[in-house]
Amino acid sequence: MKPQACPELTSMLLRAADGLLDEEETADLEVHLRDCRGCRSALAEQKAARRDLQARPVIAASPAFRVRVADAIAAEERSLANVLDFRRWTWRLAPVAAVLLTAIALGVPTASDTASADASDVDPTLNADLPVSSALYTGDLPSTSLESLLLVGNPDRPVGDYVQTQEPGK
Amino acid sequence: MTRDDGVRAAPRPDPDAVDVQRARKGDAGAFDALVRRHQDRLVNYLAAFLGNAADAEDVAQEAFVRAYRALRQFRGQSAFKTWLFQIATNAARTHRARRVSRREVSTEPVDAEAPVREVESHEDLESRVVLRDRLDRALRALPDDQREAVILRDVEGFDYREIADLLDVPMGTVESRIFRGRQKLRLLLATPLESVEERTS
Repeated sequence: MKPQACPELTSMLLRAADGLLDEEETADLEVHLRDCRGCRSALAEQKAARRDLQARPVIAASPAFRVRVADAIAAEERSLANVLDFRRWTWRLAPVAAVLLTAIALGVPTASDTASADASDVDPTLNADLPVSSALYTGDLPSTSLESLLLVGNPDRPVGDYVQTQEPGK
Repeated sequence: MTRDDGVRAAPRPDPDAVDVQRARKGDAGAFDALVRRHQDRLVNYLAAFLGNAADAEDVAQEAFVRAYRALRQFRGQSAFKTWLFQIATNAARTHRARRVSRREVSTEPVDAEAPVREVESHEDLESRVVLRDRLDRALRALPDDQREAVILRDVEGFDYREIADLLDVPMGTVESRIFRGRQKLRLLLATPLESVEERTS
């Protein structure tokens, strides 16, 4: 069976293989190595592996590599410039703007129109004696009425004032 | 006393600092100088890590583009080279994971006892290619974390502190990964240890 290195000395053996020990550490390790076959074997292993890897022939980048990197960076910058180019955005948004303008010109109902239509559906069970502020607090008003009141309402007037003013239109 | 750079005593000035500064201000020539300076080592590192030169160039290109994009955020906490290799390591991990998920990379562990091709002579080009192939096959059989640490130390010459920064792990972990990685590598290379001891004594 292969002899094992002393676990507490692995860091020292690694540094010894890499030539990083000072004179005192080297002397201490040499004394230990005389009697420890496992550490001797481990040190030789470390040195051999390091030497093998240092002898590995280098793979260099191909001659076209720099050009590829420069092209990739240029493409990256072009795409960034496109995002920031307001003229491109203007052209892309032109159809959307045209549709919106057409819709406005033709009087297509908008969301706010729908909301005001709903505002006429006031709950008849509403406590008309409460001031508006109380109704807001208790949540007694439907949200559509709430929007209408917030636009025109005096919070101290009774809710009934507003409810009654909307009754004839019903 | 002259020491190897395994443990750095004090931070050294970054030889890339001037070009980094210029590139941050939009000087394309300065960034090209950084590419020129680091492309070979980066491709070499990635080829050893990924085991494929074509993939290595793709990932190296991606790393340079990412570095260019993030250059304004680079505050010089580490050397530019360390930062670049960190970006490349992350890109390589992603690339490898993607290929493994597509089953393009064998996930079968190589038998550590299986002998790897021996080289009789390192003199000519062919034997150099064979040597590299032999080493790369052995490296590919290491777990990813040990392979990264061993290549960064023994192939690329980073010191332990730089590797710890680059991999974002404690220095003790780096030492342990290198130690265990080298042990496994020796098993994979299956060179008689007696002859190694003779040569290194």
